Amino acid sequence: MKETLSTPSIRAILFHYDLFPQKLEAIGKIVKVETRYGTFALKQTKMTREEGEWFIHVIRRLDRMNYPFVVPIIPTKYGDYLAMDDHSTYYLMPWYEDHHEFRHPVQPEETLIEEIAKLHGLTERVQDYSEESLLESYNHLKKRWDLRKLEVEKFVDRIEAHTFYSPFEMAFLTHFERVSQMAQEAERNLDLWLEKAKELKSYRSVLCHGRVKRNHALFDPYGAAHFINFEKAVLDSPARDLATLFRHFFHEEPWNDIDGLHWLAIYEKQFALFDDERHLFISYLAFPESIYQMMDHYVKPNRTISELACVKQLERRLLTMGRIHRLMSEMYKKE
Amino acid sequence: MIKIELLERSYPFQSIRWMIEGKIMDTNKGMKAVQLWKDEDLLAWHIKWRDALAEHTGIMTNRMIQTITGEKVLSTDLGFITVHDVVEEAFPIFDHPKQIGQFLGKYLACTATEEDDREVPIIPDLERDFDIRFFEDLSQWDILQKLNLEAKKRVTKVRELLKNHSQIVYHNIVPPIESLIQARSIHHQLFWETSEKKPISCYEALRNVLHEWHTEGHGAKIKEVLDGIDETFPLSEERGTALLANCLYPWELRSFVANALDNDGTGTMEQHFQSFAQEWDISRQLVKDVAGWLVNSREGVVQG
Repeated sequence: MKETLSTPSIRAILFHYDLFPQKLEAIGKIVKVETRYGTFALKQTKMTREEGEWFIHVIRRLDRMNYPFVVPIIPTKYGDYLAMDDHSTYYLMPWYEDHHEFRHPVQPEETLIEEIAKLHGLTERVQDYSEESLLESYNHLKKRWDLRKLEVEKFVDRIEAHTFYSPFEMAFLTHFERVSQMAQEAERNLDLWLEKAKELKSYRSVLCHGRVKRNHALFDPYGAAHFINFEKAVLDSPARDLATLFRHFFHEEPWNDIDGLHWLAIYEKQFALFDDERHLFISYLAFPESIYQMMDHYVKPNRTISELACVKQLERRLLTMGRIHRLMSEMYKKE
Repeated sequence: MIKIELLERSYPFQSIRWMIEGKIMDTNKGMKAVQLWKDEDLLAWHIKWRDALAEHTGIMTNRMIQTITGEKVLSTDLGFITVHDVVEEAFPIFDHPKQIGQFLGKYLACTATEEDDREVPIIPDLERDFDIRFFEDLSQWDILQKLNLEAKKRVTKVRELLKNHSQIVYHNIVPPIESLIQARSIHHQLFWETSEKKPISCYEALRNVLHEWHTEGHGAKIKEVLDGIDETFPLSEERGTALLANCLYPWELRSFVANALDNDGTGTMEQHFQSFAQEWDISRQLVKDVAGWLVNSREGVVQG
């Protein structure tokens, strides 16, 4: 048996479910458990007590709403959603196969967008207006971005002092101005979000999955996706999940601004964004964090990839940044 | 009589058959114990306490298994029925004195409700005299009289110890620990079989455990047990004193008198006396060990 988790501790955890495994197979942080009563997935996590309580609250809420696109959590024989030992917290789900081929044409991106929009629609809440908490969120993000920009400027100052530039340094310096303009564009949209939210004197929150991506959804043969891993779920603006999902798509598959507009249209068919949310979504997408991360990676003393690979990755990310810019322009044009 | 059909209808088990009528059943999901409760308040307390123990210590215990409809209790004409796991394999406690100590500390600190940390006597009926006149015909009467005198001195010392530590009257109550056999093993993990009895002072429960540890001939490892307890239930001034008072109190004479008056025919008076005398010796050694550990740990704190 392939195992990364210790077998006795898994068997002891399965005792909470009265399950006696015939076969155990470790797949990352999941253990596939085959028993005479069916096949299950046991997930090991490092959730704290507070995180565990919130997770249970989220799962119960999804259950009460009858949101169908989620893999259910099976309670223990004592009625708990989580089982614990000295080191970890666990939860059990029925085993769902993840299909990549379907009985009719399915675009997984479209399904994910549509189902996450439905989740947002079901959990939408208008929050009591508080300028203080709005400003707090704004300042928090602004501060983080300012710090990142400062780090990049320092890096640029440092490499500009070099007589000869390395290929990565050359590529970074060549596009630095364009990257900085994207950061400014992100900040401009963040300011607009704040302005619009202040005008509206209200803002919405939804239940955000928190880590929405293809790997956190299991597709059935008919193309319906069932989300897993709600451990980082949070009440926040829908722009958060939407930007996470778009960034994931940008990273995974070739796309263009037409695809982007199409995905946004699918989302908005289920759950239309308000003006302020749209600006927040654009600001999240525009901020060139992925480019900055390449710099972090490049300067790491124990860097694992070659200079050439770094340049290639940087160029790919710059290409994505350019597409995001075109997507933003198209969105404005539409308006 | 509890009917199998009722259990099969109410719980997620099949192929049930009694192994011990009304108490232990075999099911398709292993052996389960059936408990009949008459006292609803005591049952409610036990549900909360066992859930709290599992939640706060991560230790498995014989919690109430839910019915098909998600209830922890089955209400019947006979009383309230609960179903629990039965674990046959014993945990090798004497090989893991520190780990057991850490668990015991968590056990003693566990509360079911806020009211559990309440004003209860460290030793109930501390002022009660032991009436030994009943034993005048016993061949060891002279020895018993001497031990009774010694017991009175022990009670006086207990009183003195507790007099200067008024705050220790506020303390936790826990299910009694009747035997170390309650420690069972599931795939090398500790499973604690909690008693269904009425809760008692946590210090009395601790004294009983330490006493049994000695009785089983592992007194040499008491220090490690106390070290483990101290990590999860710090035996600071007040707690240490409360424990020492409990160890010093002549529980063995109290239970000898009670057992003799309530003679259930399980042995002769002489046999009861012999076992009382053995317990007396163990208590003496236990007081020595606990007092020695407390002195060392307090000196350690001062020097540290």
